[in-house]
Amino acid sequence: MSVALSRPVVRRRSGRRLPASFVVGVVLLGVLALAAVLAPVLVSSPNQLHLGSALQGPSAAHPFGTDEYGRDVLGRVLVATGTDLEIGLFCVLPALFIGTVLGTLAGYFGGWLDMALMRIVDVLVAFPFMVLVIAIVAALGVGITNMFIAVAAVAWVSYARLARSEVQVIRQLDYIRAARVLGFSHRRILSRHVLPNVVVQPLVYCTSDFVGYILLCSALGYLGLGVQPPNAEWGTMIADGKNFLAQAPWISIFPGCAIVVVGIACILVGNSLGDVLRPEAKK
Amino acid sequence: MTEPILQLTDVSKSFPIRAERGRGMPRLQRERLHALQRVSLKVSEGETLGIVGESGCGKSTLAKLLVRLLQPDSGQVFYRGRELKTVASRDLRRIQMVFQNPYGSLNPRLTIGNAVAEPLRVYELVDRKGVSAEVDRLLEQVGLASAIKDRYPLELSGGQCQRVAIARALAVRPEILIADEAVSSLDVSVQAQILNLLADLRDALNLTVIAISHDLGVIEYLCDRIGVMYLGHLVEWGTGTDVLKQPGHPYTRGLLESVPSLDPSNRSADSGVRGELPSAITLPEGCVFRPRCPRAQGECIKPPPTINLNDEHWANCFFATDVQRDGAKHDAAAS
Amino acid sequence: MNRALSPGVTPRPTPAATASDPATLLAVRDLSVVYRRAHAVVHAVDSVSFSVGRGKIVGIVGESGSGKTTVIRAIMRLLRQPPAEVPGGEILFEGQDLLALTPRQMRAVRGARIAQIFQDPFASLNPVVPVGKQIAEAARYRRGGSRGDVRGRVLEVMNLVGIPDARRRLKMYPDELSGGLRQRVAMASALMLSPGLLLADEPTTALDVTIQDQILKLLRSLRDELGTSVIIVTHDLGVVAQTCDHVIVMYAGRVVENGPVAQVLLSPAHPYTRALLDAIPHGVGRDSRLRPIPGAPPDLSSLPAGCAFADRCRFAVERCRTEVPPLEEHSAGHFSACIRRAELSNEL
Repeated sequence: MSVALSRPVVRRRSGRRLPASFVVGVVLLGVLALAAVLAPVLVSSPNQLHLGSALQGPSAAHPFGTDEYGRDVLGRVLVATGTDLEIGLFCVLPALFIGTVLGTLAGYFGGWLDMALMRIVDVLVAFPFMVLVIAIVAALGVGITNMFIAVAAVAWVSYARLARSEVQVIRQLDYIRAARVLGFSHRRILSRHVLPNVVVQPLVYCTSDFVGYILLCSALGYLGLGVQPPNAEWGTMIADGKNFLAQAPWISIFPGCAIVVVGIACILVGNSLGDVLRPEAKK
Repeated sequence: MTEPILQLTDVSKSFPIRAERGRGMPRLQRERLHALQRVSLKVSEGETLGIVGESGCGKSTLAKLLVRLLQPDSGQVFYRGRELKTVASRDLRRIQMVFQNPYGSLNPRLTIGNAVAEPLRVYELVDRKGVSAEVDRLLEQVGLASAIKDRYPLELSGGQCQRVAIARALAVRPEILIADEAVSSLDVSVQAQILNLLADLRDALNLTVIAISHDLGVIEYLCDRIGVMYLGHLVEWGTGTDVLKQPGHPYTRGLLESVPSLDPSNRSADSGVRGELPSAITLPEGCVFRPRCPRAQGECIKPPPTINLNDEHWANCFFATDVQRDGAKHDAAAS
Repeated sequence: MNRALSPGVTPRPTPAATASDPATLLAVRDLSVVYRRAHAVVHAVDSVSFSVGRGKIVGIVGESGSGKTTVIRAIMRLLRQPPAEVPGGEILFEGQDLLALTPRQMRAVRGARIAQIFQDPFASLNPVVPVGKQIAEAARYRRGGSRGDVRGRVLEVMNLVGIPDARRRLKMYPDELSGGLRQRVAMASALMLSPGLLLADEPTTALDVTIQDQILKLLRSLRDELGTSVIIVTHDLGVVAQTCDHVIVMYAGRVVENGPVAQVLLSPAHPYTRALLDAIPHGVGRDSRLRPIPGAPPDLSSLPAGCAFADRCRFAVERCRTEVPPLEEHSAGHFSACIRRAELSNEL
């Protein structure tokens, strides 16, 4: 009864070759992470004032120059790496997690769960994002942790919607029906069949949100609601340097470049993340 | 007479319509799409039943009811004498299904090996060490080499995917296999391979098969018994020979005449069934086939009776015996 | 593709009639189409030749990957180039080579002299425009005329394709119509400018068999009443048997058999046609056995030397794998690309 194995539709790729852009992006992020980890070792007292050497241009001693308080910009940029990466992660991850889970459950089970969730989403979406975040931070008090809470409370909504619409497509596919006919529990279907297919889009989405939240934090810092001085953070460094753009542009430029680098890394990873996570979808 | 393995009594199912048309005011009253209307049938163990009908006839809804993906609005579904909704999940696996779209029925992220092994693991049908061997055995049973275990569905052809789907369904040792348009998406040559496979498996494993299709050729090849559906009603029922050679219902007759014959010299100018399918929201009064029936008369405005044409063959038409007799005359004249 | 003829083999007579033959509407000669992908060149259509007479219905039948849809796209010049390329061939329509026309000239042909209907009528109709308007649109930009004239013509073609209650349906939207009606609307649009040739790509595959029956009979009556030639692309031999005058059987991008429908279906001259007929579960009862075709169609980017069907053919011999068999005349008007067709005539 055996029939000769007919030719496959797609040639199986010999080993998995990751796209170049993905590798570059990941390496870049890796370097940044390394810098963040090593910063406390490499840099001593980044917040120490040295008023005598204020506003000096890039030199051998200070490759990125010094700011208006005489602090080494390079050192502060390095130290801020940790802070900003942390900000990006802690803003994105809770929202991603909460949003994807809630959206998946709502989309999968439908009914009152879906209706309830969508009404909450409708309400939250009616408010401008920044306004809500600021309001919550103002209510909870200033500080970086409260900022994380505020963002998580507001940002989960877009992930929820994204996950929900993905689930609604997948739910109709026969392999989900087959799993139910095979008698698999909802838990198994959700964890093994639905989530792995649903999570790709939100993950790609969050790579672009990552940089967005770093910028959000600098905006909040500008308003006095984010990272408090004298702690180093790229956004606040840029804001602080704005008064010296003519005479000492390096104070703002170098932290700015750091954000750009993170942004590029995220885009590189984000663009190819979809392909990396779904190699079997390449025909 | 042994108890039927599956039985439906007076099953009806309808769906609410969301009145979203995008134009004008949304409808205020709740309209319903009547998918199944008081369908009753019995399936004996080991036999192959074919359900044939065109779009809107309710056959997909029927399939979903049999695997408990849907619950009937009224009427009961019995499996081995017990109502389906009281049967434990673990026993429901005895009724399995193969779907139409071969690629859609496999999770694109799972390798073939994992897809077939999963039910084995969930139900602990073999111990851990035996899983791989059992997967090999199942794949071989459907005509696939075990090397295919590491591939992903999108690397396979449609026919191969369908074989994998069958292997996965067989993993849980089902008694009843429902093939819901299982070969409709396949090329003719591959379709024939899968049909032969299903026939062989059915004989080797003594499966009860319910084949749901719009293709009369497929039904004829596989089935002992045929039920013809139209607009949610079961309009004719009998053995394969009875229904296909001596139909008693005008719709069955029209359907058979519509199938394009492979003989180019046999071309008729009249359509098998004229007109369009009416909406399933407001069903025609009385016999649902009345608006398109060439024999429709005054009395057809009343619900048609079930006329027994022989012990195992019935049709829901006032004129069933006439249809059968006229059909026989027509066929004799044509040959 | 260049294929040197072995010595001693006479050049084959092309099944396509010459361009000057007035009874021939369309003559395709040695048409080849390739797709250039990143790592491979896919030979979708390989030296295909056939002709369509005036007032004839020709069927092109084959399974997926046979190239039949690509041929239609090539005729309508709707291939995306790149990645598609047409390395060779001519498509002579009413004496003109369509492949040599400028895009502007081709636009004048498309819709007006050659029209097409597609498999999924819902996808080929605009869901937000009423059907009457869509049918009218096909003509409005070409023929001019007052709105009354156009509307009159629209109602005329709607009656021609058997749309009941046409006046009321003018304002309806595609989603309010059934599949069969939508296909009729698509046909009405196609007929607005009275094309000489209608290309129908799997026109009934998505329809119920009773509706398919109606549509096929409609195509025949259109041919009878208007003299429109039709090319039907399908995988269903039954459709071919009921509708076509001539049939072209394609496999792996090549024509393997070509001839009057009665001859090809009742006395096939190629093992693939025979195998297709044997694989159809038509009239095959419960106790007999279907004869499937083992294996699967070849990869079009790496076709084997010799006959593309050899690997799956139960009559293949060594010679079949060395050279591509030419399409040769088997009997009057009936061509086959099988070198063993004479010996096998009893078994096919």
